[in-house]
Amino acid sequence: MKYIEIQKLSSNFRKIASRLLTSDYLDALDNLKRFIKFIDENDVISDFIKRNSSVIFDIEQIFNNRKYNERYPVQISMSDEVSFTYQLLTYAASHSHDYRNLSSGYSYSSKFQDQCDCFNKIVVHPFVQHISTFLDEILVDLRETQQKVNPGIMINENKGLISVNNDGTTNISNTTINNTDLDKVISLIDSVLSKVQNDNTLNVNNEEMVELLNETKSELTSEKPKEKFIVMLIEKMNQIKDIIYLGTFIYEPIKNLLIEIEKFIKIK
Amino acid sequence: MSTENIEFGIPLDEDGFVELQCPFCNELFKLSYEELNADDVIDLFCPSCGLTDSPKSFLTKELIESINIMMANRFKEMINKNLKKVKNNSKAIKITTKEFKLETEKKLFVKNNNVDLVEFECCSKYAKVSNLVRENEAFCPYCGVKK
Repeated sequence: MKYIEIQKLSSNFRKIASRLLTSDYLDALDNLKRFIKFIDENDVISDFIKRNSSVIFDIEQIFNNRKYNERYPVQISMSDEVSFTYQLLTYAASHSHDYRNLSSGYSYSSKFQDQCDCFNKIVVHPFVQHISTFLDEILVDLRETQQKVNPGIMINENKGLISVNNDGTTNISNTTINNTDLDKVISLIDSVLSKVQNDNTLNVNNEEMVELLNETKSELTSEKPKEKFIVMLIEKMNQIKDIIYLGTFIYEPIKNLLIEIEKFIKIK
Repeated sequence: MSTENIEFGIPLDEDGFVELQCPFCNELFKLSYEELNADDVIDLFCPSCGLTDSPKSFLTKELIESINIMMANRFKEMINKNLKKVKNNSKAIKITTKEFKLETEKKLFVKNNNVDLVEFECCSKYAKVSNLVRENEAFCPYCGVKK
């Protein structure tokens, strides 16, 4: 996904979250359904929630056996908090007939609106913040990548220094190789390879990806690496990275691999 | 039943900026009063958390408290004024009245918080935000896009 798409996603998410957080208690259930639908229909956010949903809570039992004035057992760790709140809100959106059932007991005031506001502030707002922070982190990463890619890249490999300019031309000069960096890159390639082979949920061709990684590895370790071939492989890997959904399991390892290659390949 | 309009003033800083507070994260920031009163401003976004609500929700808690005290005092003054008119015409029943005591009204003043002027090129507008928010790249208060 591109920077502008994440910007739009972040903006739309915050608007729909604000609508729920400020809603009237009579409209809150509809706004909750809109909020959950938005999350479920969006791959980036739903993948973030899936990654954090390692624990499945017995929400039905918690929801139905809760006493008046008893608060929901929102979890301490960020991952569990995201998981629990999402499961609670999803259950409430599909099973509850009134937001008052969900939010009762969250305020000392007897007014329904105060109960609703307090529940939103204590339970829903932190959940929204976690997702917003996640989207902000993606934006920061994307901006950093763009800033690095734009000036052009310089490859420091076995036989010399290859610099790729914005116009597509390459310059080659002699330099020495850092074997430690190369070992790190190779180990990262192996790690990504094992993940790609075991993951069938990717929106890219796994075989193509495996082939590309193997070619990159063999070319980097060969005695006489072909400069043009390495440039082509890296460009292709960047293209694949752009296609993969941000936030998927494989995105982070590929990002780390490219960062390590960038260290190996000096940025102009 | 009569209606009485009570006017109150919101202090502006030397650049004509009014202090606002996010209803979600309580972050304090300042916007140009002139830009804030434009007809095209329907909702505001918090520069820190990016959540949105109507401009009136962004009034600071201090200001709302001050307005509440002022409103209560005007109401008490009206009651006190009418209580003085109550006359004791009966010899059998004795009426005693006690005036409501007025609360001390807070004087609002502009705080010199550590805020930096930030330009939002997307809307060609300005805001004053805290150093921390500026470092983390603020959301535009008018369109919600990250700077």
